[in-house]
Amino acid sequence: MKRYVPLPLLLAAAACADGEGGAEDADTLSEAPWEEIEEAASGAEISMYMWGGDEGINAYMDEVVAPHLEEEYDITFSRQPMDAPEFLSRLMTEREADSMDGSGDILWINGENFRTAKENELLYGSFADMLPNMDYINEEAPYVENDMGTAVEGMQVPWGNVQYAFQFQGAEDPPETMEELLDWAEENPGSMTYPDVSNDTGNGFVRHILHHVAESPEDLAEYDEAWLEENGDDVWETLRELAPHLWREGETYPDSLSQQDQLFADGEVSMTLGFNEHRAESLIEQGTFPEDTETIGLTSGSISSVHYLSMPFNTTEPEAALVAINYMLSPEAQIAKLEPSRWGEGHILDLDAVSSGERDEIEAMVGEEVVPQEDALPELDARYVDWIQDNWEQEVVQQR
Amino acid sequence: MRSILGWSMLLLVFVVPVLFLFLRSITFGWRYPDLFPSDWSMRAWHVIAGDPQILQALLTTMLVGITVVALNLLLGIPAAYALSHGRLKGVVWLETILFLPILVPVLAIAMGLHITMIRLGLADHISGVILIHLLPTLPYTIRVLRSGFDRIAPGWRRLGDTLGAPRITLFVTGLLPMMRPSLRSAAVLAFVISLSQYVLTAIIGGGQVTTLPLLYYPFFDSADQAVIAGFSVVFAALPAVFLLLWESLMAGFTYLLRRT
Amino acid sequence: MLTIHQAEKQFDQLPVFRGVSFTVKAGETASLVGPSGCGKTTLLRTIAGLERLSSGTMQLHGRDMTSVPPEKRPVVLLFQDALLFPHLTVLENVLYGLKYGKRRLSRKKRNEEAETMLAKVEMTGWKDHYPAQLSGGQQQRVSLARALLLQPELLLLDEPFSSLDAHLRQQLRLWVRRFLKQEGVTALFVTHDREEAVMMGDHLLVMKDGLLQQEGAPEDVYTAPVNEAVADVISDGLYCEEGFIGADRLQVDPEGELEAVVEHALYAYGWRFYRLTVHTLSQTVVVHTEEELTEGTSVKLSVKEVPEHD
Repeated sequence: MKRYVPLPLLLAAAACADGEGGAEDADTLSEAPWEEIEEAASGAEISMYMWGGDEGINAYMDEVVAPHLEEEYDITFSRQPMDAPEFLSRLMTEREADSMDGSGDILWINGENFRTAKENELLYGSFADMLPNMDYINEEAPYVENDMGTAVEGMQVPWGNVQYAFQFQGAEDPPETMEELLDWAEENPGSMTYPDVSNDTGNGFVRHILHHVAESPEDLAEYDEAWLEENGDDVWETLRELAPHLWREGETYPDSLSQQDQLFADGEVSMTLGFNEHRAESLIEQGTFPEDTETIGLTSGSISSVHYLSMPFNTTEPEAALVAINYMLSPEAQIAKLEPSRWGEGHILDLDAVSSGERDEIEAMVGEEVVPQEDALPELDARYVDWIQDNWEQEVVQQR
Repeated sequence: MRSILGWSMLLLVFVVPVLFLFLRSITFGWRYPDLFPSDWSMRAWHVIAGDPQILQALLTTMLVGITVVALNLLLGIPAAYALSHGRLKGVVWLETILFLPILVPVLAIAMGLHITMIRLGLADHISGVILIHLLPTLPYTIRVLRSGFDRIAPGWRRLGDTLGAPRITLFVTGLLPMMRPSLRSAAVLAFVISLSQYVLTAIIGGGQVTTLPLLYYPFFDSADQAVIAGFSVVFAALPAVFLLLWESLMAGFTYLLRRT
Repeated sequence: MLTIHQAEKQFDQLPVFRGVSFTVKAGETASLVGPSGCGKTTLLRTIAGLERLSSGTMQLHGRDMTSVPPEKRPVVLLFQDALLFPHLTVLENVLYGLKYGKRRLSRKKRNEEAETMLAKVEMTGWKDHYPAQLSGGQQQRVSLARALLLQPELLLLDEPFSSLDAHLRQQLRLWVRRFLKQEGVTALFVTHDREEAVMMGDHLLVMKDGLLQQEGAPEDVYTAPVNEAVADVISDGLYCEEGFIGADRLQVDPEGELEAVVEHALYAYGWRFYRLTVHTLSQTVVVHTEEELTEGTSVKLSVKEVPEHD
């Protein structure tokens, strides 16, 4: 979820993947009534490939999801800590070797990685329509059909929704728009930085600059090379102007978000950033971030990013995987996920579809929104991500 | 005087960092520029101990590591001996070939290895992981043991012959005990390398073989320094445990040799 | 009794030695002397069985040993280095051959014998020490004890004193000689040091260039070398067309016919000697004279006639 697969590896794998998809299996299953699927799922052991580096996320999976699946459906659930690059690389090899005996049943995936998986036919197929709990999800929401420019086609279902936000410490009057943020950086030299764009967080910051340069989000709604041709230089110019005011005068950038968080924790920089507007809460609680950390969502627009659940083509327990995914979409599981002491990230529920009690619970938990819905910007097409990755180094870093 | 210096160096290089990491793991909000921690918290250790897979992972890690070491010695001792004392032609070539696995980046060959493992039916299984760990360990083992054998005068074989001790007896009762320092280095090195494999274990083991790094490395992507520090302490403790096991094994072996 | 007949050894078709025949009598110590590279060490190894002869035969007490593997031969070789196992105590080292080697004994028996042998080599007080705590001479004594416990019919010694300092070497070889006699061991002793060869051997064998040049009682070989090679290896004197002239017959004499250049003075056994080079013969010789000579000057030598004595 956090990194990208090295491109040559992908190309190599794409070249050798054969043409068979896993869609037939999904079709066969979709005929079956849900009760039958639940019945078939009973007694199964399933595992989910997911990044394992966050105490809160791990706790949510181990203490909420796993016990519920055990009690309710007699499904033994375990998470396998593995990053997307590793599990994608595995699946590609397994695809090539025609190995249908996969050891993962659920994937945590989005954006670039989803596109890779879909293009290489590493996914189980279209299963979203089979899940009863899809009813709780706002089918109108653009992210249900489209994930960073890739058509979802029911091959993955939204699991969580996070906003890009900025954390400040000791700033009297923290900036609230991109314009103000750029000014703030100039007034506070050395206080700001952002991670290298090979990292999703750093890349996300540059995507905000794209929005900043664009006159309206509409301009970026679809991948538009002509727009980049015309406005690309403005994007780089903005970043080049920003660079001298950054930490170490923009000579170098943190390699990863964790490195920037550490700089922030040590007071070397006084801002950090990242997806998930609630992420600072657990970091304050565990003593990493100072107590006076303040989170700001830009009113000029903040990208909201959705991440999804999917299934690999070679799951050996598709019924149990469906049941588990269905549960993870339920209001109960989504509300538990909001709990800041565990994970504390945004839900994907349609507030009109849930019961009034649940709605109250959600509203109590979310409290005052960091980013009001009207300020949320759609995530950009993944090809913009590539464009940033391909050019940033040369346009910004080497121009110093 | 010299030994005091030696011990303080040892302390400084090995013990102090681990102590520091341990301290880091039990503090709360210990940030630069505070010289001393003000608050204490066992949170990191609760996180580590609370991981449902931690015990299994520790056992798997030890099992994989010990088996990898055993296979390394089993294959590495004869190979190193032949390289050192045998009259082989083209030794330089052979050495280069034996060293290749650590010159080639693992990621470049991971896919090929994974396919092979799938075909062999060893993917997603502990035996596949053990086998694959030989790749980054065996070249080092052979190197270390080879230079160990090089230091042993070639006259020993003639001595064994003239005393009438069978070659294998001389090897076990004479040469191996003389090789003890090299064997220890090779074993610990192989263990530590096996212990630190993440990518190979993840790809070949498929998450079904969960070793400590699989739980530990993802935390490097977070800012949770306390948990990282705690895991590092556990990580540093494993080779120490291994060394302890090794030394007891060696002591037992020596005792047996003396008794018979 | 060891009998070697027409022994030959080649490495990659290059002869190391050839046509070697000799006998060592039971209870006798034979010295085999020669410069390095003359083939003596290889010859010793073939006798130990560590190398195979290319041709020729070898008998021990009438039994053919030519193709008996080393571990089956009643022969033990003592090396230049003591080769004691560093991880074993003196006693354990001495026991090694009785435990794993040619002559295996029960634990009780071997311990008794080892203790006795350690007493003989005067190492009893050191039995629980490790080799690293021993002097070089002590290590060689332990090594000797380890070899003799196997009760070899023939003991081979390959320059066993060469790694010791001069003083220790002197002491130890006297001790070893006496010890071998006392134990009645048949031994073949290889060295490149002629003094050592003469002192250790009842019988002297001189090797050079892969050939056995001469054998006999040490004094006979010393005083009457049959050729220049032997003279060069073992004797003091000059070898010229007429034959061998011992150094005892050479004197500095202004009337002499041989011209020699003074190389340097040396002192031994209470006397002063000079090393002289005779350029016409390309040989050097050490002679005693009362005269004081200057380095680099030329002197004349004449040959004393020695009265025939019977």
